Amino acid sequence: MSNSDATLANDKVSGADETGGDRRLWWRPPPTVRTPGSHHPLSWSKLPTLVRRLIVFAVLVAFWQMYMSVKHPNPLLFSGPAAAATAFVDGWRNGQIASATATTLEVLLIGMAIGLALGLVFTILATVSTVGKDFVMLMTAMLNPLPSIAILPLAIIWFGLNNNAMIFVIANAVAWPMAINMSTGFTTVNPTLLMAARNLGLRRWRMIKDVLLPAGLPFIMSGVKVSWAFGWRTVIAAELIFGTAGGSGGLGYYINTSQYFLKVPDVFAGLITIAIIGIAVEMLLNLFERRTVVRWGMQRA
Amino acid sequence: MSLSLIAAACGSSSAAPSSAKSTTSGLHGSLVIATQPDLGYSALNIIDQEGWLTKAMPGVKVTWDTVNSGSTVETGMISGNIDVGAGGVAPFLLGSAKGVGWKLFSSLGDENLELVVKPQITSFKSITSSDRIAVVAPTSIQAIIMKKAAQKYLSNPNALDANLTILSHPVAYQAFKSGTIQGALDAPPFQQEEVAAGGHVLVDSYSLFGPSTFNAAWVMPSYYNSHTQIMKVLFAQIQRAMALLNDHPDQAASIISAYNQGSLSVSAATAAITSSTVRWTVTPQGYLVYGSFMKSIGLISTSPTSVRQIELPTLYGTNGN
Repeated sequence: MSNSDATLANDKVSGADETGGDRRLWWRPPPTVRTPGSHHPLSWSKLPTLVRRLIVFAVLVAFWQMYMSVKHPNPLLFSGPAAAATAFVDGWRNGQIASATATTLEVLLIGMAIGLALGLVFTILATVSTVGKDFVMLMTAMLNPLPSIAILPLAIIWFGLNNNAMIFVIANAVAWPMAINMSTGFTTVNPTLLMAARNLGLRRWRMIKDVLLPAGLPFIMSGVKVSWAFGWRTVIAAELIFGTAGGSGGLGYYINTSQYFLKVPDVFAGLITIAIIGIAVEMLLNLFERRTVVRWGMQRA
Repeated sequence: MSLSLIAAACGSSSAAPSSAKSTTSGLHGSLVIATQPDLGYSALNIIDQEGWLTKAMPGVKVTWDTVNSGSTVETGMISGNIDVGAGGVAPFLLGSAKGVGWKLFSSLGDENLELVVKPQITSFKSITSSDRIAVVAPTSIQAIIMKKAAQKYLSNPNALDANLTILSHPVAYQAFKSGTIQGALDAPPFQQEEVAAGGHVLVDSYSLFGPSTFNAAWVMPSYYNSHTQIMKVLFAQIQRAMALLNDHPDQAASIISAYNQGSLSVSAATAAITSSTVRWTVTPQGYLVYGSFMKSIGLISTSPTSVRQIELPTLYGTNGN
């Protein structure tokens, strides 16, 4: 694209020279400079974010309903929006989804907090010492590609059949992508900034706290987002592998049990719950980004 | 899909009557059979390992799928991706009550399932709230057996629900051996291994429900009716495998061991095949008693009142219950 543009510009310049030297041509700005979406009074991007997202959501639900109406899938395999919404409301009303959500979130948040803290510690270790760097590089290369759920049987032997085993696999799922993103953030900090900080006499801890962490925040935020997704997948998968039948199981267990009992609308109700929590967390993280990296001019809104 | 159906229908009309050993070369179409990694599927595994179906019906494309979860078999059958599925009594009854419509094609054998517990548990009353007992799925026959035992010994079918933990058989065995769970109700050979690891049998399924099928093969009537010749050949091969399991367990064991690619020794397979807890038969058993119990505790809304309601013509006259 940029190559062809350059060629085009060159052609014009040489053409202009040949036809009598209209030398303004090469610097004249292109006549159609528009900011995206400004060319129409009722444009999509001018709508408030909430309205835009609601419209997208409504279209998705419409497609879902259309699929139901056109294909008539077997109700033992697939559920429509209306049945799913009813199951969702019923499940929240009788407390089943609420308690399952609470169980899952508790395990997930503890596991993520430990994993994020470990990711931070590993990155700092890698920044301040070469041995630490070798250790973290090796561990990340070995463990990051491994689906954390694969070590659940090991965790069960170490910790027993309890939440600690799940917290362990979630922390493992979260720590490595976090460490990778954070160290990318640290290593891509503008060298001028680092030199300036060194000239000011900043060393190790103050360098990390006052320069590297804020400067690497966009990467750290994307690390948190990736970790959040990894954490969710891991907790749901772990709950599919073992759950307590006594009503204290989490969302994954709720979904799995509903599937075993062929209660398809309940399966969808569980999935919708996960989706809503995902949206809520995304909004929270965006808010944090607006207050930090966007305000500091490091990232576009 | 519809093309293969038509092809199969044409093939079956011109096919010669089949017997266990005759080659029904006129048959065409496709057949997808799903099993799970478990000795309870031995009859099907022998047919697969020895290639009997392909020899009997060279024109039929036979696909064997090994899946890891009963619910995958169910979903596959409902969606039409699996023609012959197999599984336990309880998931079958649950699906029937939900209107799935599948029917019993052949039992794959009876099995007495044992609840093996650690020595400190001497009776149902001595099970404490911190004791964990593994079953394979919330809708498995093992979970139903636990409910029946809880009803019989603790007067409440749900009394042990909070103790149940959902684990696959191999994981349950490991967890039992390492002491993270205190009881397991799974299947052979794991129940025997758990006894060998210091556990003892607290209750068995025959004492609660009488003899019952462990796994059975299921088929949708729509597939059965449009593929009667293929179904006849398959049933004959299952009977042939049953005869081998009953009359020549050594031979059957070496086939099963080969099927498991050495992860199960011939002697271990022989021990499991000839165990006193197992009986190799095509006759379905226990569906009516399990069904009425599941209905009585509200797990299902309807249960079969006669075995004829849930079986395919292959089983007419086998006196199932």
